Amino acid sequence: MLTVDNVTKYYGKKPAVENISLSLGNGLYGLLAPNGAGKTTLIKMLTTLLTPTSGEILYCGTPIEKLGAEYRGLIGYLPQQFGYYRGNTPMQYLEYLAALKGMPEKGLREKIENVIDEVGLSEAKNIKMKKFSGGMLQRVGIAQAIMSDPKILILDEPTAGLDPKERVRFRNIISAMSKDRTVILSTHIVSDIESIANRVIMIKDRRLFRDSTVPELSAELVGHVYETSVPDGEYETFEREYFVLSARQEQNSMAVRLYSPSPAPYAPAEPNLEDIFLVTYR
Amino acid sequence: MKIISNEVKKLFNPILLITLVVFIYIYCRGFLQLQYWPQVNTGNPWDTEVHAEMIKIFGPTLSRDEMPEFMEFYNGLVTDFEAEMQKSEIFKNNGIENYKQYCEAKGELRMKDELTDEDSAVDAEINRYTFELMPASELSFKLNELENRLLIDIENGGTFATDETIKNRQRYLDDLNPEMAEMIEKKFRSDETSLLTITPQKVVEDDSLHIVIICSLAVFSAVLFMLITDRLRGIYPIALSSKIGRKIFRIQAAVSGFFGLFAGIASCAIYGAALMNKGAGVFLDCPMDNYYYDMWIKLSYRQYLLIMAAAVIVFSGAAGLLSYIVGRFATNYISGLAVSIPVIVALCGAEFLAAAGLFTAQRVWIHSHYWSSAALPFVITLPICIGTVTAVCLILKHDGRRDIL
Repeated sequence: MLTVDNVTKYYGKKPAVENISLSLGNGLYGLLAPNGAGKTTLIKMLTTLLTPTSGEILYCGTPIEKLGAEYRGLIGYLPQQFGYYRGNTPMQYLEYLAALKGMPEKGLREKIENVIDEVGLSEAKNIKMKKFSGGMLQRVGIAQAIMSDPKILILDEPTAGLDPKERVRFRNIISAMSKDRTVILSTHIVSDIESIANRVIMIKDRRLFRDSTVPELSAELVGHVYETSVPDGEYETFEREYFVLSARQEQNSMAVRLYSPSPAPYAPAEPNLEDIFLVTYR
Repeated sequence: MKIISNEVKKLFNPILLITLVVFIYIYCRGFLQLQYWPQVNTGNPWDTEVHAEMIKIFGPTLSRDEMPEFMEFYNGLVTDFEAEMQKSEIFKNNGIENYKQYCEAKGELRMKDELTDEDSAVDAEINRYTFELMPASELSFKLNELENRLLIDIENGGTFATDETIKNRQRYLDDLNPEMAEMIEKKFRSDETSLLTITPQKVVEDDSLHIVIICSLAVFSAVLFMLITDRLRGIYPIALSSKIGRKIFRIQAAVSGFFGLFAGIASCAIYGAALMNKGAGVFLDCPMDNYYYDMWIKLSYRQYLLIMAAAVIVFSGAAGLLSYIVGRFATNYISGLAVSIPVIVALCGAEFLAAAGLFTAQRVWIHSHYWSSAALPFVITLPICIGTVTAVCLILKHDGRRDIL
């Protein structure tokens, strides 16, 4: 169990996150917030790269600072910007990172080959990474994060650069992994977590805003999301009156999905996580 | 082991190494004094050669008892020179038949404001014998060196002075403070003098600074390139959040320090081999304290070389650690370069003072009555060693208690 206890982080005099408290057991946690909201700062504190200005983070009741290397041995981490050696092949790089993770050498090669296969890079395992596309690199990043079979898997914007097929494959991998470990997936791409997150953690104005399941969050918007069709000439006026969640151009009108805090004369729609995100951070 | 080998490999970036080799070659061709051996600081090769010849005959020092043999050696050179003089019609026509007359004529012509045609002819011939005609020129330079180095010493009441000649110096000594007078008198009354000449010492003193500059630049380039490139690549977040990844900083610090030491040792080994190849080996047993210099510590040339090599290695190792400190906090190449320049200048300045202090602190004191610190090399070297090691240890120790990125 990972506990974030009233954690605040300042960069100089500027606050990055304030008074965040969380309890994270096994399962997949979607960390949802727009850019600059403090997601990466929170993740860096969870990975011990930053220390909280106040408050503390505990793993099974012990501060992670005290656990040190023992705690870091439990982590698999994919940072927002995945660093690599251009001249290395995925095999070489993962062998090096395995050494940093203190993984035993016995059976290591097989383990690495398995994880490379899992992320769909088997055919490129001996090609230097300087020839890789962004998506391929991201898959190497995912492979390194999961290869030590971590108890806590922390992924910061993991699907950036992945094509739809790869994203689905990735979702399936981490969804299966979240059964017996803590997976924290930070993103601002709502669809990444909507179908697989056990809980969604939302940060707003540097503070914890929500820590709920997707249905709980959706329930808050029931009766406030509508769908309608707006003639082209009236769209600008309509947009000023309602908060438009999405709009799609049709023949002579716009198919609009909208949010209204008060009842509106349109067809009610089922709220989804994207609606929640847009309404929260509007 | 894999982590260590990876960090070491990173230092040996092929493009960087090729650039450094080219730079080092150009720098050495431009600045190292060794390439001008044996005529550094003397303008001719024969000063060093005649000392080497004397060392083969007399050993590393010339003692009072060996003065007859020395004069025999000197007179042998004079005889050879006079044999060369016989070939000159101009000397013959002007009554210059032996070396003494040759020296007198040279002295007289130097004092004259206007030269007759005959004088000009003699002057030209003397110049030819001194600077152009071989082997007369070689003999002339050798004789000149022996006269300046040893015979004047005798005449002025130097190392081989008698009680009588010492008295002539007493008036000069009386004007000095008692400590200095005692030191000079002791030197004049010495029973022997070192046959070390100026070139072997001067070459090493000057070049040691250049070797430290080369090592510092090479070490800073390689280490900063490694550390800043790693930072910009974004390797650290994964490494530092892994189980033993934090050891990477300790390993990098150690690798940087050892790389500095390796650069220093390799430079000294290569330089030492080149120095011996030039013929400096003959001077190894000569005392450093000689006619030209007074040292505050009694050393042989061999010991002096070892101390200078040790200083180069220490400063090069310090460069390794300092480059690590700069590299840990520099966020990009420009800031790394901006901080490195003053650090390298300060480091090389300290080495210059330490190397000069080893040899010249006493000299400064004698000639200018100026403040002298015999301990100058240690005063400079020790804080640099202790300071850099302590700073690195503090940084590494502090890593666990602060934001590591």
